[in-house]
Amino acid sequence: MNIDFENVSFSYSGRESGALKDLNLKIRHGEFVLLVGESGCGKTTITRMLNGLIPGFYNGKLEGTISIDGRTISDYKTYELASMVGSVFQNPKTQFFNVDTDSEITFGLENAGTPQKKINAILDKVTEELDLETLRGKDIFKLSGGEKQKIAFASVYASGPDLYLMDEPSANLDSVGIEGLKECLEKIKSEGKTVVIAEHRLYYLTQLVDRVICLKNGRIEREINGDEFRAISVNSLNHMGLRTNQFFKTRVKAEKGFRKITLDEKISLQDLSIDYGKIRVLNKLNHDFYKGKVCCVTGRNGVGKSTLLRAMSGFIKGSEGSIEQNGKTLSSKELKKKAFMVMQDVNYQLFADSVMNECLLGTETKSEDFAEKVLEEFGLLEFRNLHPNTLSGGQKQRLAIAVSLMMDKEILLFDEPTSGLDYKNMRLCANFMKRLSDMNKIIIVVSHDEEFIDYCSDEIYQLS
Amino acid sequence: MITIDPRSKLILIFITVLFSMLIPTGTFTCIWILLITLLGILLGRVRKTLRAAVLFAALWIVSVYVLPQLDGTAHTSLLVWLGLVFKCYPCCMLAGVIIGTTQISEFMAAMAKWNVPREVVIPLAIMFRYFPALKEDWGHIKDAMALRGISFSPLYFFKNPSVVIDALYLPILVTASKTADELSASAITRGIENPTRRTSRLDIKFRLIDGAVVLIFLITIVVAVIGTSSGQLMEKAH
Amino acid sequence: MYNDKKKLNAKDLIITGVFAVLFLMAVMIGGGPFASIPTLTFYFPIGAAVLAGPIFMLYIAKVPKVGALAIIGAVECILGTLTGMHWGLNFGILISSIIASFIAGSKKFENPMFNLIAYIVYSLGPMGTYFVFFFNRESWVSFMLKKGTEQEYIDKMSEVATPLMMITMIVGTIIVATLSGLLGLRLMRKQFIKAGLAA
Repeated sequence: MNIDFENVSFSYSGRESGALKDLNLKIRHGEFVLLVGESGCGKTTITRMLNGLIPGFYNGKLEGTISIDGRTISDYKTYELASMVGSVFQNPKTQFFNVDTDSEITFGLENAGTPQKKINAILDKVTEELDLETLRGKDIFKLSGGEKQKIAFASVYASGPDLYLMDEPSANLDSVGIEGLKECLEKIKSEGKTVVIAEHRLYYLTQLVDRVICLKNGRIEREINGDEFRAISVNSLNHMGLRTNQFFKTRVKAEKGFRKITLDEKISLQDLSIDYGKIRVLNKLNHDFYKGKVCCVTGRNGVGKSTLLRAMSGFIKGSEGSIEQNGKTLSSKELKKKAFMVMQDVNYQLFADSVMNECLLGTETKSEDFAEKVLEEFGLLEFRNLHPNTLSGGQKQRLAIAVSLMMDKEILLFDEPTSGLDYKNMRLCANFMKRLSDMNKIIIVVSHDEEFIDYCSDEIYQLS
Repeated sequence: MITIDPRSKLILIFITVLFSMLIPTGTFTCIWILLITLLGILLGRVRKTLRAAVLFAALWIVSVYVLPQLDGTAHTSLLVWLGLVFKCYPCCMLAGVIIGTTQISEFMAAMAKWNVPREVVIPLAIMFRYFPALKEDWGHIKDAMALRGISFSPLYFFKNPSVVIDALYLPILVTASKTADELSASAITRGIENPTRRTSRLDIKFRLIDGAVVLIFLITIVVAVIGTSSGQLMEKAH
Repeated sequence: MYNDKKKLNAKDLIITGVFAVLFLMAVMIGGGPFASIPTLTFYFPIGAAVLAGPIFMLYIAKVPKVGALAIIGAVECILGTLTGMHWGLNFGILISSIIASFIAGSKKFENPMFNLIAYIVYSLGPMGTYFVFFFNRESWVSFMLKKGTEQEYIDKMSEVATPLMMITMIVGTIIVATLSGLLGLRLMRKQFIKAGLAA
């Protein structure tokens, strides 16, 4: 599968970011190409042109020609492209059409009218080749993010396309999930498939890439071949606004210098245990969270990190043990008053029709002047009259953090605040964490983003 | 445990609808509920089917023993309400059995065999797919509202009506739109627009058991019709 | 192919499925309390119309094609049939949805007044069951009245479905649907369009 972009330009109707300007790019059969760049640089747009979502699904102005093996892409219908091009997207929760795994894996084959015997033969083959025995016959809603992505991948793999397109597939995954994804990619690379992948998190791809294309504002800024990429230093990458290319595990804090922490006001977990029905999710936790410190909670998927956050914001009562402050037990109601949580999907938390109103919502004590100051700090003041939903992912994230500041709570909890953020926004987020803790708040962050943890955490609390 | 083709299940629903239309509520309704209970158990959905049957029995007992004890408006309203409930119960219960024992992909492939237009099949399939996701989303939104101090209590609503209204509609419609878009992208890039008739990994075909079950239901409705009309004739003769 | 103005493509159909669930929830939450309390059963359509206005307005903005609302009606009808709702309800919804889609569609879904009227018409659909009941009470409740006398029986029959109830139901639904529809139009201007949802 040889791909050719000739003088391709595209702009989305209704927004500027993500546009492409006079792109010329050739991708050879069997190449593993990584597209990188800041949010809005156009890398996702390139993938959308190859699977037909542009211009069919996304409206906009398209110029130039894109051809696959010499034939223009616009000659193909979407379902014809579907057998040649497989796409995996970033949100594990919204990619599956069915409710059970088996049906999902065979979805593409069923759409194409494949005979029943062949479908089942392929299903068995895919199960074996991608190591999916444990995931067969399960309810998709009950799988972890990584497992969902694996099924999404399997569904695409089953149709045997020659070109694989991935749009930030690791954005919502933890390290185990990413490992699983990497194995899938290794498999298709070994089969000689062409892969075009747009990503922020690069380290798991370093060994696989043949070419890295750096985009900026819709143009190719730089092309780096695979070996060069493997050799490049992390610093150079950061300078280009990119994340690390090396597997990274943040160092145990004892080796690093602490920021000076003077206050000893804290919230303590005393033998805290939480049950969901008959299952004990958290067992006898003991830990102190201090004001002025950023504490990152880590641990594998399903170990109970989100449960801990919900307990600390007063949504769940502990089944045993307690949460105490300065010796006194805090009830759920009191915790609700003291804590605020920024969720992983910020869209659940934006209620107002303008950025300014969003800040003022729910706070009775703060004035518009204060809100202006906060917005300015977060680089959002120019958007004050815009609707929150029109902001980019990174901007929405910052707005949610700004809101947490406006709420004037003691305890601030964050659930995976850097999912899908590029390097620049991840650093900004890390800085804000530090700033918030400087205001003597208790900052607790659940994250599997090692670079982020390294930049801002004062303490790592690993659940197991 | 048995399995029957989704299309047979649909046929059973239509027979049941016909039953509700033609047969006045009475003894035959109870018989029908019994049939459905048996079917549910045979299809493997035991607990929920039995629960539904027990609920029906309880309501029936209320109508026979409790209702005559009341009078006035209490009697009238309970009468009407029970009338509605009993009219809907057979179909409702059968529907529960069917939805609980059929997979989305199975349903879609079966409908394709009958050439049911995709304009109807795809939305229906999506509804079953989206419903649990909606519950999850709504749970998060409720939490987010609690965190901001927004509540649905009458007092809060009175003081801040537009805040509550915005909170009620905006996040859910934003996430619903996003989910719809992402679902579409994923489905389209896997060929859902392919005009070829879709197939299934499961064996969608009519077997002997399908015929047997449908026949039993058909016989019952015929007996019910005869029984009812002859009963009415006999009443008129008196 | 995708910008085909009339035909519904896969994206439209999926959006329809998602919004159909939202409509259903609005109806169940709004109308549920009415349907389950014996004295208020008749007024179910009124409750059902309370919440769905904004959802309706956003939906026709996202899929401004005549087939779309009709499909919502068809899907709700089918779902209603499959879950045992009375055929009067189901066909009532189907017919009212089709009429509503023509009303709003006549002005290409862009005229707020017509959209509002369309919503009102749509909300009258669920009354189907009660019309059927009104004209056929015996089949529904006679078995529960076997023990009374002839006159008591006749009196009871006229008590269960008075013309007044029907009128209250119709007028009440129209009023509530109007309010909900107006709320929907307001939210469209203030929030949905600003948020870029109606694209």
